Amino acid sequence: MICCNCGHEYMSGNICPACGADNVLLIKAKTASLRQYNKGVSYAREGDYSAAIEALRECLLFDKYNFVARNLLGIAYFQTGLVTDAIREWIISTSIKKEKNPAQKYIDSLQKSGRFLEKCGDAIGLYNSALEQFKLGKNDLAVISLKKAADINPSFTEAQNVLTAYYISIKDRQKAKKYISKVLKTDKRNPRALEYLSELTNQEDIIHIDKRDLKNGNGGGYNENLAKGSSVSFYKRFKKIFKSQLFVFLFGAAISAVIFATLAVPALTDMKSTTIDNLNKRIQTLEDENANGSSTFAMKYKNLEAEVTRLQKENDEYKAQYSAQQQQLDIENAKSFIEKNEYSQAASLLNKIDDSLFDDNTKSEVSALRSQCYPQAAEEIYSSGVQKLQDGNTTEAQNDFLLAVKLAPKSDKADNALYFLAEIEETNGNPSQAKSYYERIVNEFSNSDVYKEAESKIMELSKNVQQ
Amino acid sequence: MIDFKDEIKKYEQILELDDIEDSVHSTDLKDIMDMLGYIASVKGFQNNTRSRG
Repeated sequence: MICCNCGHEYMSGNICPACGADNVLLIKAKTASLRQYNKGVSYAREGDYSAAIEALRECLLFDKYNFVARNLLGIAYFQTGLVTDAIREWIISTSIKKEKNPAQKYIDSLQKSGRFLEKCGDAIGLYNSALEQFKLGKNDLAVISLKKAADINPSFTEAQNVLTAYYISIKDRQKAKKYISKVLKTDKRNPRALEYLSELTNQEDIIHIDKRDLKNGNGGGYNENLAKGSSVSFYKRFKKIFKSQLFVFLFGAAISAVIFATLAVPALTDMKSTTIDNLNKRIQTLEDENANGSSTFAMKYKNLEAEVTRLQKENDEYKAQYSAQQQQLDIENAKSFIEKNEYSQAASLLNKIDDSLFDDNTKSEVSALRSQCYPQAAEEIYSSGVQKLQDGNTTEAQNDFLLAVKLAPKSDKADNALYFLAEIEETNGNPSQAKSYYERIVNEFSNSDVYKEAESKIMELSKNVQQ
Repeated sequence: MIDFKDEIKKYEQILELDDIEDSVHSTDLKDIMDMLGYIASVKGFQNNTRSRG
């Protein structure tokens, strides 16, 4: 048999002859230690760190050398904000097992994040000083310290538990519940937090709700649990209060509506009616002004009309001046053409002159120029017309004959020009116009060489008309 | 309703950072075997005394 304590091999009995250890007891102790360790692991996995701490401490009571249990105990302490206890366990663990011990990693990790460690230390310091302040009756200062500690290390359950106890004592349930909830989030079944929650739920109105929950089969077993139940009861109480307040609010709103309808609405209606009357009067005034032409718009319109008329007149004057100047230039050019014996071009310019634009002297001058060039021009134009007719340009020939007749209605060529015009009209299917030309020949040119032809044409066309 | 004055007495001071080292050194680790050993040794001493007497 090998001694569990010293490793000495001996033949019989429970007691090791080398170290004197009772191996039966030793094995039983080791077994008990392992059992507690397993419990601790299980609790820690569930997040029930208080139970884990208790189990692991029992485990170490059976076997102080169980460094694995000690490491886990450190972790459980760390999770609940007891960082210094955690470090202490890990240091002891490393002294038991120097190599391949994860506790060393935990310590190294904490030392690396020095600021975090410092903060955790501050939180513990604040907690300790808060306990002293409470004892001295300086509750306000103590609460400030604890709140700060809980803020620095949100998983510091002990600080939160003290705060809960304080808030229960001053009947501030909301804050008490807040801290209970925080503790239970960190440590699922923290005994103190559960005790405080029970204290809260034992109060009359909450008990009522809880009884109902029990009737509904929701009882038994604390949950994330009772915290939720208390939230539900709180919600129901809130709803109850809110309902009564809602009724008061609605009643007030209804009264306000009635007052508004009886007082404010008629006043508003009168105000609107007055506004409408004023607007109607304004419309009427504007309509009258518009009809009389005395409105601002009508006055402006009249002024603008006068301005337009004045400008149009000015424009016409300028146009006339320009035209006179242009025609004066044409007269000069016509003179120049006459000097060069280019009568048809001179006649073309003189034909376009508007005599009314000039004084009598100019009128006489224009008339003299016309007399000087028109007959020759008419002859030239007539000849051009004949040529065009021969070339088959009937339309241009017609224009030339018309111009020749216009320029010199009594010239020697005028009767022939009229005859050609009559023939062109006949060809174009205008017998009446053709007849009028023939008639002019008969009436105005009794000595014409086409007189007889014109006469017979008149007869012919008259017959055709009769038929 | 809890009595806060009584309640606060249930809470103990927590080990501070500066005190960890002293705490480790002063901790006399004992487990059930130590206690049993102690009891056995005390018993043996008493037996020896009786037998001498």
